[in-house]
Amino acid sequence: MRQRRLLRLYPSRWRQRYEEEVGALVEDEPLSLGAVLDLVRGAFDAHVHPELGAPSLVGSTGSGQIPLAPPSQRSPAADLLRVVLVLIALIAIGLGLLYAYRAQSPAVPSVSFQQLLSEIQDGRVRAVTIDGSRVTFVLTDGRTQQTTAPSGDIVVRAVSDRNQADPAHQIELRFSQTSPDFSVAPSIFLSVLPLLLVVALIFTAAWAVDRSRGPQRYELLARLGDLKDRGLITEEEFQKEKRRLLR
Amino acid sequence: MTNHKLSSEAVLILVSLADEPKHGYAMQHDIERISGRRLGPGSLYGAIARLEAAGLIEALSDKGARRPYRLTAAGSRTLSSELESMRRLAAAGMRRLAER
Repeated sequence: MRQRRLLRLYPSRWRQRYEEEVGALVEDEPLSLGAVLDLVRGAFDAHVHPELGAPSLVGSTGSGQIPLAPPSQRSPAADLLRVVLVLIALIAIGLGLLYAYRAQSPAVPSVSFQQLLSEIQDGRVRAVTIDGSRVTFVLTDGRTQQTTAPSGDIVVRAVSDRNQADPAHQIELRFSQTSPDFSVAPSIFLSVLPLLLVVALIFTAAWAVDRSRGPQRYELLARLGDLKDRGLITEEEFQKEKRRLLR
Repeated sequence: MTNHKLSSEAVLILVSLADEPKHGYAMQHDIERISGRRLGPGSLYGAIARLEAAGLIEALSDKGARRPYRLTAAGSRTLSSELESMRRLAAAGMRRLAER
């Protein structure tokens, strides 16, 4: 089921505890945008609140074999590396966003078609590139502008009229062929790219926050408390572990 | 941990569990029936996880996909006081509307 895959967005602790239940629920849900957003939001929430995935020990009557994860052995260097990697990822995402924004709003200013015709007639155009109905032109002062032409033929005629009238200053005429199929897919991709990057940024941030909260100290503490309540470890051992965890 | 503000989802879940233990699927349907509001799996389990962490509800057994939850004593008290304050709020609102 496709919906079930969305549960992979959740942190592993949360999944250990709830995945089976939520998975069963999710499979009964019609796959709607609302349901997807609901799960994505839930996953984000679970990342920001890592304490929610902790196994509940109230009323649990299991085999008594609650695995006590060994305290994680992370060196400061590894932590630093993670922070650097997160920073690099953030910078890459920022640059990606900037690029996507630039691609969305090209720097070439648009003018009216009439203006293009009068610029051609006044001899202020150096080169014209026709791509379907889109016409990009370079002015003699070096500026590039673009417009939408009702038909490329009108532009061709205007350019050749001008070239005949002033053969000394020829306007360069070019035709660019981009097939529509080729340009639609990238433009769709580019239009959703900012959204994808924002989602990626949110998850990266959530992951970073999750990491910075330390190696599940309170969850371990809760498990220790449970072991003590079951009489598997003594009060003294519990206090010792607690001091070590909270140090 | 019982003094925190309950979300509307949390209140719905507590009300749903007020008569008998239910698993997630049953809660979802019960909540839709009593309130007309359908909680998505993400919202439902987000609220369940919070209530469980706060000790207001508890999972009954390791029944896997159909694990039932029930109110704890603290959950009953919290729901009771929440409903009482809702009642007062509703009464005040109705009184003011009637006085207009």
